[in-house]
Amino acid sequence: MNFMRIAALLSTVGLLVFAIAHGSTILIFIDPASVVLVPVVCGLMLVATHGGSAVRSALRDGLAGVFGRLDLTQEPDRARRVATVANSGMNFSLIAGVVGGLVGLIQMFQSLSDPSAIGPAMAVALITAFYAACLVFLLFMPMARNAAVAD
Amino acid sequence: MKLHRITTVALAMAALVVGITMRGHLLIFVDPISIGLATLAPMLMMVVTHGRRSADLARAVGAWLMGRDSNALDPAAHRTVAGMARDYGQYAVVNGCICALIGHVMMLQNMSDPNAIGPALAVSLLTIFYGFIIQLVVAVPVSHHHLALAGAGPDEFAHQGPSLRALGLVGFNAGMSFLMMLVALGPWD
Repeated sequence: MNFMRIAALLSTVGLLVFAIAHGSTILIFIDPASVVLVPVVCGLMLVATHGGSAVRSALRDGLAGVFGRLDLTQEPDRARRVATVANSGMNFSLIAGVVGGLVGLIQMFQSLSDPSAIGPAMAVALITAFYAACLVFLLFMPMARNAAVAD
Repeated sequence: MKLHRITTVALAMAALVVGITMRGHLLIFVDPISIGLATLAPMLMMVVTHGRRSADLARAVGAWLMGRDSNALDPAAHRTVAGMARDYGQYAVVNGCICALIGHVMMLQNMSDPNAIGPALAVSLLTIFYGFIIQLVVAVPVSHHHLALAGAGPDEFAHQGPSLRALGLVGFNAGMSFLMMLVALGPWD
């Protein structure tokens, strides 16, 4: 357990939560439709591309490489597999985020005549983009960059 | 013929449908003209760019979906197929943006009915939506699959420039949609 890295990640998350809580409740950032649209779709397409066992082992190795005692610079094969899956994950997250943004935008434009429905539809768009960015920022980029150092 | 891959892709599409229906109707996302434009134009541009080799891409997509892994190709062939799949995805997104701009211009021509402006803008965005679906379900998975088979990392095509250019075009389109909405809702009489 690499406590320094875990503490740094928790501090980042704490900063984000503080920024959110400073202006509103954090509950408005939890949207089940966005949870389905971004992490679920991204995970399923990752499994479809690389296979379930490869994704599972890459996640395990990647998280162990960042937060655990696994030194990926000593094991280039596992590092390359982690880098492949993590880079794919970044691409899929961004695409899923844009797709979710478009879904919210389209739903908002369809309901322009009902002003009370504009807000929730736009919220779906922005929250999916937020989830996608968080997935990349907090999970996939650390894994990918940490494994890339090994090359 | 192994079905695990096509079931996972079907599950991803089902998750998309669930996410959409949680907040609205699914039928607003179905527009035959947009579907035709979004699927046909990238294929035609692939034929323009790559000629007869586009058939290799079609065969590779079919093989990927049906779980028939072709390990008989050499790494160079894998890289070619991966590049073609990536190009297909880029074409799909950019074509979506172009068709969305066409929709915006058509909407500006028919601004007489204020209630129809929103739905018209929504339909014009559908082509971008379909372009990204094609990229999500077909282009990026096939490209990364063949890159992994070739032993190369996904930054193989980084020298071709950032695909963020496509994202920038989408941002431009989204901004244009808002601008069109404001222009259309203004007191123009």
